[in-house]
Amino acid sequence: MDNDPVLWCKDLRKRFKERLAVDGVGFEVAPGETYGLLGPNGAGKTTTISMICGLLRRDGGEVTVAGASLDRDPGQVKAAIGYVPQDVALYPDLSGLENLRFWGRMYGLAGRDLAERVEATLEVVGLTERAGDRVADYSGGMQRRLNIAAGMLHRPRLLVLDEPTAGVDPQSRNAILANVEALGGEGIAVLYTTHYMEEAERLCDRVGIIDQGRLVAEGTRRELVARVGERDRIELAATGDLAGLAAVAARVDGVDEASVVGGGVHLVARDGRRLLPRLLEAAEHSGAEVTSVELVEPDLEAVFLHLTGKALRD
Amino acid sequence: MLRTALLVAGKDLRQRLRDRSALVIAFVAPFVLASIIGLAFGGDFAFKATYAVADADREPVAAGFTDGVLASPGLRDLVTVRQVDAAEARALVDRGDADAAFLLPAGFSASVQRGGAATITVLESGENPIAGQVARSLAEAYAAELAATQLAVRTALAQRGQPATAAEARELGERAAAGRLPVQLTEGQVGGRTIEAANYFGPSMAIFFLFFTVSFGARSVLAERRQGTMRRLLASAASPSGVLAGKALAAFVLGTSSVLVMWLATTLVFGADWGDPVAVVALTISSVLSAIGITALVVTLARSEEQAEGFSSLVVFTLALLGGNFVYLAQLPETLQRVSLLTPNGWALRGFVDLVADGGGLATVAVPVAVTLAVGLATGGLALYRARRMVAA
Repeated sequence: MDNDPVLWCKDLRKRFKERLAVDGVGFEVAPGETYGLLGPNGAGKTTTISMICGLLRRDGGEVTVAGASLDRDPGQVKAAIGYVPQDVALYPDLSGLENLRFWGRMYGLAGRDLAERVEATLEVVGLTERAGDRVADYSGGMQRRLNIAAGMLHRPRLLVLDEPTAGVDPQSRNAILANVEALGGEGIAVLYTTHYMEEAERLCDRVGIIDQGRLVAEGTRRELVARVGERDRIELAATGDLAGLAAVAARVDGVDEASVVGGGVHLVARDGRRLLPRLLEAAEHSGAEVTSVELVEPDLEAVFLHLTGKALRD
Repeated sequence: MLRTALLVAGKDLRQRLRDRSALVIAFVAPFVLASIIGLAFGGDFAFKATYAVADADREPVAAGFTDGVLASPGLRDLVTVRQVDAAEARALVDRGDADAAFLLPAGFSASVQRGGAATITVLESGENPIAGQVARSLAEAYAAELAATQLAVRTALAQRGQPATAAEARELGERAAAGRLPVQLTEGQVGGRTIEAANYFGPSMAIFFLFFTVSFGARSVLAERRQGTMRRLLASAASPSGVLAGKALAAFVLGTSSVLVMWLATTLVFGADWGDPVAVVALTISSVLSAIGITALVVTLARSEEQAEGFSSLVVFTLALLGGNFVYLAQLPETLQRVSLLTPNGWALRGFVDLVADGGGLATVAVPVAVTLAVGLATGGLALYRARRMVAA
């Protein structure tokens, strides 16, 4: 197993009449890596993955999956991808078992191999007990889980999930996220689109921020935060000499601002988590007693706001 | 592509077999409706009539009608004639014991022999309008033949300068009676054989419901688009052609099964005889293909499943009405019989009727098979072109 990216795409472009839906998007996803495409609705996420999956003709750009070019060997590329559409794409009048068998066969599985993988996948998504029931009788969350199961059944090199938790209850969402987290451990590359910041932060090793068809930034969460210059906020609740505490804290290297706010001191710092031990040590000599500490790190929502000037859910 | 087609076809058939309404349309409704209509038509389409004849003339020209026309080989097996007087004839018709009555007045023959006017009065009961219509046609035809013969005889006698003898008058009646009758009843349609209801409405209803049965194939393309499974299918390396071929294959299997089950059921239950099995299968296959092609083309013109269903129903009922699925084609005016041949239903029915009537084989249905096949290929080709764009969109 080499470390070549499972997915490599470059300069993807797509125009719908006058609207440029995707404009020069490119990124890589390594084996076992979960890559998140984070952006608001209409940013170009689904269009991008539709081109990667060969469902939409590109106006420009290249896609390679598991070493195969989408232009030269689309069949091999599609066979290497497991696609989980945004909406539940299953046959409601067939059972969960029949759905998985059908989709498994569509990806070339047969016989004992098919039976074993169907059984194992049902186990993973927790639907073994309900496998014989019609999908129409499943709850929304169960349908979502089966939707994902159908995409991962053939053990693809790259699993593409297009907003798989949209409209799902919290319990099912947790189950889905746990399933996706487990995929990285199996060496499957995951491309995950979402407009939920917390999902991207929880699941994704790297995140690409997409807005108006352009990839405006890419990296780990910390890299993105650092890149946009967003800083942590540390809130020290304390008693005693609060002004003295603020003065001492301001002298700690890495602290940019310190001010007394109500019954405590608020600090603005870079890499606050690393600074905490030194801050608490300094506070002991300030004449104040720190009663609690809260570290507020900038999130991807803040990064997105900084980069695009608008909120993710706009 | 073949693997995709087989998998999609298998999946579609599994879905269909789980849908009770689809099973009813494919296998139950055609049989039930054919049975009901068949019973309504009294079991067969052999023309039967009882006519009362009041011959007050009892001379040769009148006898030419009663003994010549009504007892002619073409009618004697179909018509029961009761010789009565005029009052009894009226009474029989009034009571409905006779479908019609012919009143030939005294002096009928003499009047004809003199070259004068003669009247046959036709009384109709109204309970059997076809029998009444036939009675009227028989009388009109005989009158027309008499007029033509009168002219010929009058011309001959004028040259001889003598009145006609009794023998010549008899000859006049016989010549008129031997004239070709314009009413051919069912003979012209079914090659001289009567056709039982099950033999007509079996295929007729099978073809009518066939269109509904196979239309699911095309509509399921729209359903797959709506539920997102089409994108998933295409993401799995399945080609649009493979998916469409699978859907057509499922529709073909279900449509053919529907007709063949109808064939078996009407044969076992009603003792129907659809004719030569090879020809029946050939005609079934070509009819199924034409139904698939037409319904697929109609569906590709729709933007939603609801619209597709509406379009399909409209087209299917129109074709059925024009094609003769609800009425016996031979009982329709000739214009409507011609119009029926503008539909694949009409051609298929013609093929099935010819098979029963003529007792032939493949050659008998060659034209209906060719026409329905051509309709299927033309509409199916056009539908495939449009559906590929629809699937890829």
